[in-house]
Amino acid sequence: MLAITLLLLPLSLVIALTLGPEIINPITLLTGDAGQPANQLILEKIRLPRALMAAIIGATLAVAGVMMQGLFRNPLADPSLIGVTSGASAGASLMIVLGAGSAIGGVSFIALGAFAGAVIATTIVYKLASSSSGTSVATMLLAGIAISALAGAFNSFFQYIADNHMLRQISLWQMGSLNGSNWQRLAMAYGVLGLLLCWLPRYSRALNAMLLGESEARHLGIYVDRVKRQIIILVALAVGVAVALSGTIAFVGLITPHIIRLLIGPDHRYLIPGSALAGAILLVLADAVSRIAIAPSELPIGVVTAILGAPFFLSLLRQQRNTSLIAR
Amino acid sequence: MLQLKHLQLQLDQATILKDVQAEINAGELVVVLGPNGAGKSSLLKVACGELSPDSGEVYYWSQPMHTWPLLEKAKQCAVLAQHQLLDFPFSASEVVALGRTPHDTGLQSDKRIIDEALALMDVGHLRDHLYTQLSGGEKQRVQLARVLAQVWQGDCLLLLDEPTAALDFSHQQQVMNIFKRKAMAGSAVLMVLHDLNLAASFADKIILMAGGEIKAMGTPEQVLQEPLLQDVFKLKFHRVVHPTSGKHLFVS
Repeated sequence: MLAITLLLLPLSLVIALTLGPEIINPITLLTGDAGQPANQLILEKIRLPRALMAAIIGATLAVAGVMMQGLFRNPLADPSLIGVTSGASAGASLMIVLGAGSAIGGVSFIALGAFAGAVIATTIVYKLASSSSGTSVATMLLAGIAISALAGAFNSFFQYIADNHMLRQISLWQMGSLNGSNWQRLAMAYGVLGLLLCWLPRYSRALNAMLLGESEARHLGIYVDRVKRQIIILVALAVGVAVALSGTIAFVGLITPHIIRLLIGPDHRYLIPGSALAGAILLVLADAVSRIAIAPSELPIGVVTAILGAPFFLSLLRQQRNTSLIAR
Repeated sequence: MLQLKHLQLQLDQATILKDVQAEINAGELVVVLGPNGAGKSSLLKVACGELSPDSGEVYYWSQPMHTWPLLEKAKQCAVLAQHQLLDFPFSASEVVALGRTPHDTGLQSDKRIIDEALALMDVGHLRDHLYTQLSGGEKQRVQLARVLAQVWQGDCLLLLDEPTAALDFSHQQQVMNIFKRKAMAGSAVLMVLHDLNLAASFADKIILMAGGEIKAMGTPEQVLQEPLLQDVFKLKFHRVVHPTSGKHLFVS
């Protein structure tokens, strides 16, 4: 199964490079000779960075979803539960309202605001749920809901005081876009997210054991509190960076692990790499759809993932209705 | 192997354990009996280090339990909780494989142990079935196989909260025989049971608890006395003799 997804990733990249307002022949693509100089430019400056960005963001969101679902022992958990997404939205809105349009090192202040918002929200949620006796996952869920609501209120407030141009910028940002992908941002994405994606599979055995329950995991030799703390920090970091680079992209973190779990089971040793590959494929294709659906205009990618993802997810649930919601 | 010294535990003002003292030696199968709320499960949780006592100390091989490195402890001490939380669709053999988490014995040897543990608990035929779709008794036997797989080799400490819960009569006997053999081979087994007759036929030592205190401790013959049982369980018991084994049976 993993091998198939491994083969599908290059295929989806080729599709994404081919499709667009201008169809570029995949054969010339593979020979590295895109023909006209204009096509060369489209590939180099637009499609390739976007496709590569979609791949790493998709992989990150999917793996973050797996980690959260494992940690919360709930297949319907996703990174937004710990306040990352709403914190990032509030941070980005604040920056837009403040009129911070410039950028440092290829990263805009809006992205920095989003990252800061993500980290602050998650830190508060984590602190609220932690006591001397450890971190309560149930309390964290409730704290996550409360902090998300609070961040949502800030977000609404910023939208209320924003002018028309800012309002449009905020709503576009919240729908997610890979439009701003360039090689500088790509280098940062692959540097930080690539490192995190290589690191997170180390928690596979711990997460597997924790599915039995936290006490059981301790009896199996897992330092549960340490593992929980590390996973929360790393996921917040990864999602914070991803959201900062691409805005909020719905459903990938929730659905991808779910699909892969249906196909190959809940063992995190396979679930993490499988979800990373599937998330990458999903977002690369979703980005291609977002570029061609109403070409030459573009659909926000968050809209595409939600429109395609929700019905797909519902059809999966319908098929599974006779068995358990989380049955393989 | 395991020493419980002056254990005192309070939870929300209520006294759960009152000065509990006991010793479980290698080669012994010790059964904790008592009515609901007597503190049996709490005793087991304190013994395995899941709860820390307000005072007193648990010693495992003469070293305080809470100072044992988790991984080192996990290699030789396995715990079965009263309730299982697992609701992810692992196959039965994958659940048992989780028992090998603390070990680095290699895939081949792990696979052999997992197969043997599944077969021993009579769930070998269910190895590829989804755990979530098994019956209560089958789930319990898969969890027991996981616990056994964790401490497959060498002498160990087993702390089991109602290992025979949900099991049919023949599997109760089978499971008790397995743990009895484990004890006879040099391990120490401490388990909570509700069945006086299983305790009477398999225990080397019985700890009778009520209200967080140990009311009696000793061999089944010493502890399972009608007046004492009546006092603890508030129920009249009659002792009869098993027609073939000659062991005592209790009916109420």
